[in-house]
Amino acid sequence: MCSLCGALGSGVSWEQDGPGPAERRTHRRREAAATAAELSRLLRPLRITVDANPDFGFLVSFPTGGSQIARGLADVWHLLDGRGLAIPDPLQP
Amino acid sequence: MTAPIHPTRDIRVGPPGTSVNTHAHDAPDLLPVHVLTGPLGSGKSTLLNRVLRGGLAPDTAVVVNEFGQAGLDRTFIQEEAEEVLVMDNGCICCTLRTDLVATLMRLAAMRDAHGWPLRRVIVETSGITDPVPVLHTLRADARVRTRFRAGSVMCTVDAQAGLAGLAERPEYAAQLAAADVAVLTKADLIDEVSLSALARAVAHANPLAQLLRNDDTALQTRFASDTDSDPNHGFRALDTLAVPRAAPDTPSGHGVRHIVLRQPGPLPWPVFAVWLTRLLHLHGDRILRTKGVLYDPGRDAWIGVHGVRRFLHPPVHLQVDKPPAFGSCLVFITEGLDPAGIAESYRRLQPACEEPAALEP
Repeated sequence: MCSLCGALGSGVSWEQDGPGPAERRTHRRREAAATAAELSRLLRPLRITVDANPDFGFLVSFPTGGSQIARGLADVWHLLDGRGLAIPDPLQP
Repeated sequence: MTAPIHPTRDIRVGPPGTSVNTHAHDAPDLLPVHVLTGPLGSGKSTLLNRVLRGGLAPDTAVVVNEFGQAGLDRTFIQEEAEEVLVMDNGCICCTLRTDLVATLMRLAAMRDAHGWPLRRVIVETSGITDPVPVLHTLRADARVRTRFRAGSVMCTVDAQAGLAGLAERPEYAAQLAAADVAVLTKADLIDEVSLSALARAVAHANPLAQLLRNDDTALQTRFASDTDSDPNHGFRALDTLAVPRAAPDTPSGHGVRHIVLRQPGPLPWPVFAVWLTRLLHLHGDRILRTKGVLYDPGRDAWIGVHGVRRFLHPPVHLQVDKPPAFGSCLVFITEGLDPAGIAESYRRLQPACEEPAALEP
């Protein structure tokens, strides 16, 4: 399975593991880091950064200095929208 | 809504004997939980009885959700199979957080205690139930997801009610769109011409669903495949995604439309994941289904993606000997949302990289 959301534990995301047991952990870490980088790129205008953490998924850091944990991408979106931030809508160019 | 669940009898799993699948218990041992849905009176219980009575799905536990304390399904199914769990506290949408979890964990415990060769669970919903919350429950509960996984959604289609039956019930659109399998019931009551027209209507409403008639062989084959070890299980027939349309369909009943994106270029998986989850987070109520096969250049792999509204099945790394003839393919079924907007959004994601050349099948 792919580590789509980058949730590194056996979390609630729809992606887990790598293609084979031997490379699973490395695969997950790499994919999580790439996903976090993509999120950070998307959220750069809001000065929000996202880091992958091997224990809990993502750490979302805000320009005010606060941070919050998200277990997967769905959690990230809930968290950000809950703060009323202007996150892009894919259907709104 | 808080009354305890009670089994009508000791729970036992399906009629032992006729072996459909001999390698069902290969690790990891996550049992598929199939959801049987469909409108009231469309033949869900009859279908279930047929499956149980006929031994079409051995080693199967059944959970019945009834709306109302004196539901008929319990009596009806009990007559045929004495191995039914009943959740009679109302609509499963309202009770799944506690009742369904408790029911499934009770099944798991009894399986462990008695060594039952349980292979699958079928949850029969009430006719008004939205099947998606059942899938979410399987994912959300930490205990359940260590023992069970989401299986297929099966939706009964009343052939006798015909096209009018599809159009009259708004909730039916969501049930049918969520289906991996659409089972035509009461097909023997109408002529072949009418049946063919209905089949076309069903295929239009959900081009991703496998359409089965309610006959034993088809059902047995379907249940036999739910526990097989083929890593490409849900995407084995890749050509089923190659619906020969490149433009949005005209609106059909209840505003259900679909679009097939047949030439999306390859995407880095994280880019696709961020886009898809954002899309579904915002518009998941109106995107009834997502299914596709994508080429990921980062790992040189083909990946199957499957979602029902905001519920996404784990992606499948497909073991293909050669790229699909049609290349990457994404299908969206929407309701009240112009799928052309999704197509345009996806097009904007496309990087300037090339997909491997498609080979002839």
